[in-house]
Amino acid sequence: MYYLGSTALRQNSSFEIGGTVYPSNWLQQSTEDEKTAIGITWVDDPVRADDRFYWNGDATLPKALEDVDAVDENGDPLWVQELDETQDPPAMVDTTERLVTRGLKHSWTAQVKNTSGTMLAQTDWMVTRKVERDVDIPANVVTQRAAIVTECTRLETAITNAANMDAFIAVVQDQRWPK
Amino acid sequence: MVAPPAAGNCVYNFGQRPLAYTPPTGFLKINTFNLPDSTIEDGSDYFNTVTFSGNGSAASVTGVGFQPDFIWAKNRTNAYNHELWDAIRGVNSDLASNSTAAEITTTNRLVSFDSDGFSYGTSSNLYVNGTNSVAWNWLAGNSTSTNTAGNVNSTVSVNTTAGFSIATATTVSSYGSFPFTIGHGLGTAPAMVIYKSRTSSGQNWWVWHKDLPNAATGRGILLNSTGGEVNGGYFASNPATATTMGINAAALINDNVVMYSFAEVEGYSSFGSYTGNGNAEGPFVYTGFRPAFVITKRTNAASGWPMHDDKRSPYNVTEATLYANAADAEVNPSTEDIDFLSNGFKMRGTTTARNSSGSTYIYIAFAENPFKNSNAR
Repeated sequence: MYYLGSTALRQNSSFEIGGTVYPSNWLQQSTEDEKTAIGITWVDDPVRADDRFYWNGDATLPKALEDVDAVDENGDPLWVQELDETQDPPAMVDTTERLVTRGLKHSWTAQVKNTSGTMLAQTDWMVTRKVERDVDIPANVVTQRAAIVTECTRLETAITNAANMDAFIAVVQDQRWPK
Repeated sequence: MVAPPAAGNCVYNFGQRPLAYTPPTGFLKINTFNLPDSTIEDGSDYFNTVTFSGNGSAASVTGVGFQPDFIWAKNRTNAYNHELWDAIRGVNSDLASNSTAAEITTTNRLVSFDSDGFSYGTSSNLYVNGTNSVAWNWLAGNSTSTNTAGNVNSTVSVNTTAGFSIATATTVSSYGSFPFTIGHGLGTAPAMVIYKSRTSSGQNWWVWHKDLPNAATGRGILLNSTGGEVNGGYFASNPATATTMGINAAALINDNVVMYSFAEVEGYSSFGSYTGNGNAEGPFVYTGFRPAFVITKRTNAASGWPMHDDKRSPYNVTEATLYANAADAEVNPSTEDIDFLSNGFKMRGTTTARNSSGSTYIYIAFAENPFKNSNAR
């Protein structure tokens, strides 16, 4: 991003230096030398850690991998709530199920299962056809479906066994789904 | 426009290069440069999201870019209550969007509204060491005035440019009958109003939104609940006017209340509705800007109020989800995915909270930049 001193300059916005107003397209149309001549410099954006795995894009703040039972500000247990429609107006009431704050392993396991299910769904009709009308499933489809299940199982196990964030990221970034 | 060739490349010129022929009178090149200018080029001048970490001590949060009048904060790591403060109610007045409790007035929750953010104390749940939080900030008027447009006088802080006002009022018994009308100061009818008792416990957060199926008859929906549109005229019929909001059974007599009113500003804020299709290739919602913040709510059945923003999820898909109606910590379910686009947002997940087939939804969105000034993410 271009900066004038410590001020970031937005693209497509006019700005003023020493009483001179520069139009909104000036940054796009000027040369680097012209920018430098009036004190504008380019500063690379800071490298941001992946927000899927770290809080606030900060590599020193990894998100939790494991599930934990949720508690309130006083340390008291929290419960899953449901809507009680017998009240007027309907109100939220506690159930007896503990509220769980899910770690990344839970959400990524769900995501892997979702990917697997989406891929399998494309050929589910062939399985139905086999059951209902005994039409053989093409061999390449049988192979592909088995590979999808194998990869899903591999990923779920690897996610479960990831000992730390680095290991976890390595697993989820190395997904080898069959074509 | 011509059909692409059967083979080879086709290059379209939407005006990025000189045209061979001058467009006919009344026509312009199809590019964003020719879109009308928005009154707000940079949404962060009026609404901004900041994320920060607690370290076990009171702290100041900066980077908002203005002195916020309304702060909606949530601890992301732990299942703690939302914390909502505004400049009229003052620093020692904390409400939680997920709770029907009355205002908490203990000190050291919010300490001050600052020129570039705010400061919180150790009674807030934001300070907890090792936890991470988000705060959504709105700019109202940075000052207050008395509004006498309604049958109940109100104290208001208004920003007509951004279409946002905060009003507090006391629903005095001398008025005696419903509906109460409370002045909001916007000068145009709000598209959405959030109404909450401050002093009475067990009172809901009532939301009126122009696209609720029965908005005209005064029906509302509860911010602190998963429930759909509530039967009954809790608001007045056709409650939103250019000067006042009509409150019916949602109000108590002799109660202190707060009301947040939002009017649509083209290129900056959008309040609308859509119908889900239950497909990962979900509906596209045109807002006219690249969103910075989106809340959706199913209106025809129970589901939560998922909240997404561009700071917790700087890249698509936008996944980090909090729920306005729940204390739950942040979750990242792929079923809640949405994409923030240069001119709207698009559902990528199939959750009932966002995109159940045939379900109707309302949404609330604020801009990062208007379409004319925004890039793809």
